[in-house]
Amino acid sequence: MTLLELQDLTLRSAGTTRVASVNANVQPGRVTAVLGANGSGKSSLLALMAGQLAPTDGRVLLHGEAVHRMKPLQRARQLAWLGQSTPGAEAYSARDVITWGRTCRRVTRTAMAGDTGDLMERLGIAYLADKPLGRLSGGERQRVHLARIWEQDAPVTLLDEPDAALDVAGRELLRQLITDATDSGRSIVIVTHDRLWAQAVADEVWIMDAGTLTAQ
Amino acid sequence: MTVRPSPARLVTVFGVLVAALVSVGAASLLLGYASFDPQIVWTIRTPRLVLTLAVGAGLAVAGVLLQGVFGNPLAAPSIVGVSASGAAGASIGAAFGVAFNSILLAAIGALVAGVALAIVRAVAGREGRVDSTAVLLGGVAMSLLALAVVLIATPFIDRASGRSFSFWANGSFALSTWAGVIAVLPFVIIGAAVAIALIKDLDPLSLDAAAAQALGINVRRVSTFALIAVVLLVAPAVTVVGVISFVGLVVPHALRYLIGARTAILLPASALAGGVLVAAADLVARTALAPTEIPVGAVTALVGAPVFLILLRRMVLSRSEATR
Repeated sequence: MTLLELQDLTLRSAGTTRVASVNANVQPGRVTAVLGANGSGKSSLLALMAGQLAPTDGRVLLHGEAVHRMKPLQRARQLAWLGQSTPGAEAYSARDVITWGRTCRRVTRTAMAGDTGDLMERLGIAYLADKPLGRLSGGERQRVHLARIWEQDAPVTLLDEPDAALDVAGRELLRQLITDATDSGRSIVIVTHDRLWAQAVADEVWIMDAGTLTAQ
Repeated sequence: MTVRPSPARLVTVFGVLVAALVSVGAASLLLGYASFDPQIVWTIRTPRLVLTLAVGAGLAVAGVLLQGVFGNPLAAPSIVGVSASGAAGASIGAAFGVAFNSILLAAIGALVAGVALAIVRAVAGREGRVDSTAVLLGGVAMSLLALAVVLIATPFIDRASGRSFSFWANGSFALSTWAGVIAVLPFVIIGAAVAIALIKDLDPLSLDAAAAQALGINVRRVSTFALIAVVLLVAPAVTVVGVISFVGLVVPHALRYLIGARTAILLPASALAGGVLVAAADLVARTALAPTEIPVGAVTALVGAPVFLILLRRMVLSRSEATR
């Protein structure tokens, strides 16, 4: 069964082809790592998969529906996406920011009010709960955003270089989170530059070169 | 910086604001150059007080919305061009003979301010996202353009009406009437209702637009409704009392230091504090040099500008600490 289907996915911008006719599938419960040099189109590919960018040609289908045409709320219930960097929210506490991960599930007040403590404990950031995001280091902030994405609890999670700001312990925590998530049926797609880490965590590796998927 | 205020702090802040509201309200009704006369209190001082509270609350809530939507702590009604374009709309309407303190003039002000804000947003926007620096620069340009329109239109307005360029540019409650209250209040109430409906989406919007969108927030829709609310909260009021600067900028800023940034708390606190600040500024404006009246915008700027510079400095220091 295919969860996410990339069909002739193409993105052209400012006269440059950033993603060129990519065809690929994401299967449920699997981890896919996307590798490639700087500027090879990895982040653009992930943003297209997240529906953040509209393709010039082709499409990304989720349960038969083009993701970039889905309403944000409907999309967020299926797809979680963490960009390379997430600026803003400096004046909010880490706990507030993590709770926002449940925005797409806020059918009831209790869904928003639930405890984020276990997840923060797991990511080693419980002590940061009431600190403003603007006072955290890059690595601490990345852990907070990872917790936020995990709170979203979407069937497909797309992570753009989530390991970049993390130390060795942080990477190991992330690997464990990813393993547990896929055990419960979630699919993860990670863009990374770390080939060894990718091999340790992924079931499948895609290699991008000049906007093209050269190997799967 | 406070991120999660304690219940005791919240009770204290709201308690102080309510006490200030009662004291300033009572002083506004009782004090004045003329001796105490119930007729003066009802026909002049009461509508004036109601307007100061509505205008101040509207400006401060608009500041919260603008700072949230544009992700820029420097965004405010008088900076993004809403206030001045409201004045431009009012002066054009008045030049064509539309009655002062009327709902029609308020609606014209809202329409012109809405178009001006839409232009600023379009200039600063790309692919559904808004460049927060461009929106400020665009707003400053729009304000200058709008004030030029006011300058051109003012000679065509009946001199006896007392609406000089200074009235539009610096604000005054001297010409407040119950008709003015009726012209402003419905817009402010609708704007406030829209703002309240958006409360839950404004906090996550403080992340960048892409991240907020990925959380399920319809960023374009939330921003559009927030900007409509800003126009309704500010522009009709400008057609009655002119431009009053610094309230929408300083009030949300100062309160964030005291009670944190969460909109559900910041919004009502800003409404209260904005109302109190403008009512107090107007009290000073009409009593400090009585019988001469100082433009109320001059009083808010005298208080607001130094406070804002201090807050700005603290913000710069805390940011440089965070990057160390």
